[in-house]
Amino acid sequence: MNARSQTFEFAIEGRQIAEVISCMFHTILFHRCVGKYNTKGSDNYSVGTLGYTDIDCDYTDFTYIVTTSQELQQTISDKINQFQDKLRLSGLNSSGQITLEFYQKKKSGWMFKPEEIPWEIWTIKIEQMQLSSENERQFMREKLSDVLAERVFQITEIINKPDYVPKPPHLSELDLVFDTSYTDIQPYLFKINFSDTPTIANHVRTILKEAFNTSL
Amino acid sequence: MSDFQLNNEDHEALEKFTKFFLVKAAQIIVQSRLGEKKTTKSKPVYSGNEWFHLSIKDIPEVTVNAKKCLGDAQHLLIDPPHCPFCVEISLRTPDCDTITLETWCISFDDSVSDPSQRVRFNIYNRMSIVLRSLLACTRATPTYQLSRKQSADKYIICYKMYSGEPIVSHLGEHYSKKTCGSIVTPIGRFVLNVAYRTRLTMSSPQIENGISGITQFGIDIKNDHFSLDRNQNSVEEDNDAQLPSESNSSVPKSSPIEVMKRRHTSCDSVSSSHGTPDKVYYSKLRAAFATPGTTAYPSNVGSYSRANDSDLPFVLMMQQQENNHQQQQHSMEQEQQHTKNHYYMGGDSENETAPDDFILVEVKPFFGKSDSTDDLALFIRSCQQPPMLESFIVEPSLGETINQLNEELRIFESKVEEFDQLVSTLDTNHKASLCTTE
Repeated sequence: MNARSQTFEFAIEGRQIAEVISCMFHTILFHRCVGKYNTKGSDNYSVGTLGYTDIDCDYTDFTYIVTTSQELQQTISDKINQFQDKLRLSGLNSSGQITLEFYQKKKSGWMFKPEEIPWEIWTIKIEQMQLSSENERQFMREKLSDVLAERVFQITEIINKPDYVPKPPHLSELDLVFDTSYTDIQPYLFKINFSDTPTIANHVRTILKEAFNTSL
Repeated sequence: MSDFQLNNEDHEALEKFTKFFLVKAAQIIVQSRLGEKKTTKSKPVYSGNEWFHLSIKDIPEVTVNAKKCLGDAQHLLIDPPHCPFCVEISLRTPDCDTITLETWCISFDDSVSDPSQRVRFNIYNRMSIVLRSLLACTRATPTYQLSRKQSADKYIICYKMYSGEPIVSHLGEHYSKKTCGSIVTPIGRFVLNVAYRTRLTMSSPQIENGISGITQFGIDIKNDHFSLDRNQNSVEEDNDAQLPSESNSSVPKSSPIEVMKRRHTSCDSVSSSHGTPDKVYYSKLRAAFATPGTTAYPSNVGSYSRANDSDLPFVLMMQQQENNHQQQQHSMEQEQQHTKNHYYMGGDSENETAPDDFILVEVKPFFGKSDSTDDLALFIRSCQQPPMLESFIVEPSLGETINQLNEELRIFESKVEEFDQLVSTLDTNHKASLCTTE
């Protein structure tokens, strides 16, 4: 099965990087979370409730939704800040990409670790811009809010397509589909990877790594 | 139309889910326009009264209105004729002028279906996803930022619910339409759309004194608009409104009604302030042409009598100035009150005004020929009725203005040395002249 992928590109200032990625990832994750499963027996369970919080951007006039979960917000924030710091240290006009990958685990024998099969990959490519005047900054600020609005509608359009989403497994195998480490919510298994410059070498390295992991 | 029939149990479940889905959608839309940030808690343990596994607190008034609207519709959404459920968001100013900003619509289309979808699991979960999409999309339309800045003294956001086809004619010419989500059921498909206004200008027709010319400009103008003091204030305000400030940085979307009103107001006020001094000047000019003993004065003041060519107009003005001063003031006040009637008729005032207030007078240039084709007459006429400045007809967008300013700054920066040289030359000349005088 091939994972479906979607790429968004942004050309923005360094200080806007964290907010833009946070907006995109949290909008996606809000749709890729379920309430916490509470098992009441072998086959009975109840599903908790998801809350939401409005977050205002500081460097553009936009507000986005996040799932109300301190743990999830901390996880996402740590990764995004690492990426932003790396990108800003690389230079003023550097570029990079960060991916949010949803995967499910497949057991492959008792002595090997489960195989991780991605089923949805969201990539955000960032090109860092250096603006020289306040007028340009103001113009970018307004333009970015329009772009983010457009992206949010695109995300909802993609998510609402009747595409593959892992079915909730048996209660004993929840860990193969969901990340059950969070106390208040239950997102689909996901991981965040990033690189500062998407080069051919990095791409080949990633393919070889995945091929090596799947062969074990 | 789908031939698949749901069993009674599934049909009842779908009816119930649909009802709560529509009520929750209305709650999400209305609550997102209250003007404040929302936060609700995630609850690990299901408490039994949260639909679609989403923590959405209900505002009782909204639930009552939504249920009433659904109850008033003769049929459920999933039953023919599948009347859509709509929530309309509008903006109301303190003057009770209203402009529709967006229309959210949930419709049901029985031409697309999927019998494999289970009502109690698949469709319920899909409804949850679509409601989350709705939560995200309500923050993405321009109305959200508008609603965050509402206040009783500026404008308030209102809502209206109805069953029926969505009304989009109120949204202006270039409205935008987006789909937030869809749910395919065994008997049809729910679709959730939003149509929102992209141009925020008000067009409320005002009929005063039988003149509806104002509507062609689509501008709402107050009765005291053309008083002199207000014109000066409007010109000053316009300078602030056209340049977006940091606190108002999402202009034109964040406070478009104020900005657009001010911009149009300032255009009008500049034009009328250009016009008003002319009228004041014109009424003074009347006295120059008035001849003593003219029975038609002030009705045909300005018509230069050829009875006595040796009488100079200014001499006549001096002679009659004291007598005519009060009459001039009275006619000036009348003209200012009727200026708005004159302005939108493009300066052609003779057909629309009350006969006692303003009389068209042919311009006869003093010291010149009475022939209106004479150069001097043409010159005077062109001074009195100049064309509108191009900068008020063609308004550059913010981006173009900024680019233009950047270009000008670049040119100035490249010529810094020339400017410095000029300044030093002026300084040298000034010092030299001082030495000479000493």
